[in-house]
Amino acid sequence: MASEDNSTMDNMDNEKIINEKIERLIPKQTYYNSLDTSVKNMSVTIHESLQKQQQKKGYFRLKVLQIIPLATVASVAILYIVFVQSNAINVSHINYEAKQNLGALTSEPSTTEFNAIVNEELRMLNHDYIYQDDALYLFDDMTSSDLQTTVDELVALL
Amino acid sequence: MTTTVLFALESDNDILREYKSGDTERAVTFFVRKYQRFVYSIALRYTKNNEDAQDIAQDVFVKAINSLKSFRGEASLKTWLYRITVNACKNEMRKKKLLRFFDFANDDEEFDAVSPEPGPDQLHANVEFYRNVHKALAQLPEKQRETFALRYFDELTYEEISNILGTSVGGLKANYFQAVQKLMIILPQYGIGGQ
Repeated sequence: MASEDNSTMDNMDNEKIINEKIERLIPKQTYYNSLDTSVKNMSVTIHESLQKQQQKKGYFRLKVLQIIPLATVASVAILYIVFVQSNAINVSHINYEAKQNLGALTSEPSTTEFNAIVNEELRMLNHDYIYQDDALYLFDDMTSSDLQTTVDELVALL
Repeated sequence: MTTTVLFALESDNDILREYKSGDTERAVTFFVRKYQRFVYSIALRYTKNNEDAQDIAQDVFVKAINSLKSFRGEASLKTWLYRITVNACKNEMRKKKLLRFFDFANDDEEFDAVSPEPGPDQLHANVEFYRNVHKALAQLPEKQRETFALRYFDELTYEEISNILGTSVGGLKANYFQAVQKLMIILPQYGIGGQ
């Protein structure tokens, strides 16, 4: 224990001697004075930097506060356009279609009219058929010499 | 008539208490005054340039002050500041290295401790002395240089330095001794103590 104490004391003595030597070479006070030349206005500069930082933060907050209402209004407008307006367009489109259908339903021909249309269609079909029949009859009535003549005339025409 | 006596904030606890209580301006002033020399000298040892060191010191203080409220006191303010400063310096040096690689920055590594302003001769002599001391310190390996500076100039205990540098007390003592031995030889080369 005593030897440990002695070695600590020796160490301290050694360091003291070393420090004295180095103190002669580099006097601490001279070193500190020269350092102070460089840092003399540091606290002022740091206060200024902190103030600037605070101002920036304040400016940013102000901008955010200004932007929030604008952003809210813009978002609401966008949502309004996206949902309400598109719904309105859809609704009007559906309305239009409904009206069209309703109109179609209301302008649906009556049974008489319908029958008339059907009859007309049938008549047209019949008409074609009649024409075809006419042609057949036409050829049926012909004798073979008439038919030959007709064919010859047609060939001559062509 | 009552007079208010403004006590100087000596200890770290006083500074922190005052800062947390809301009188930030006074706390900041004492905080900066107490550690400006310490932070600036570390920055100067790493960057070897007065302007860079001043910029880094200012940034370090601004960063430290901004997070002073959340400082938990697990380490001392000095240890905490040392780490912030060294990290800031290493970042700055990395940035410079990169710029130098792309040839954007000046390649000159000349030690620029303080740009001497026109003033009294004493000031000029101080500046010259200081510049030479730092040139001499720059010749030492980083660990020896930091051990010497923290022990001799900043008067930290070996235990505190051990916390900062992560080296055993015995190792630090050896580093300190070697640094002094080398400085005895180097300093006269820069005109210090040679006469």
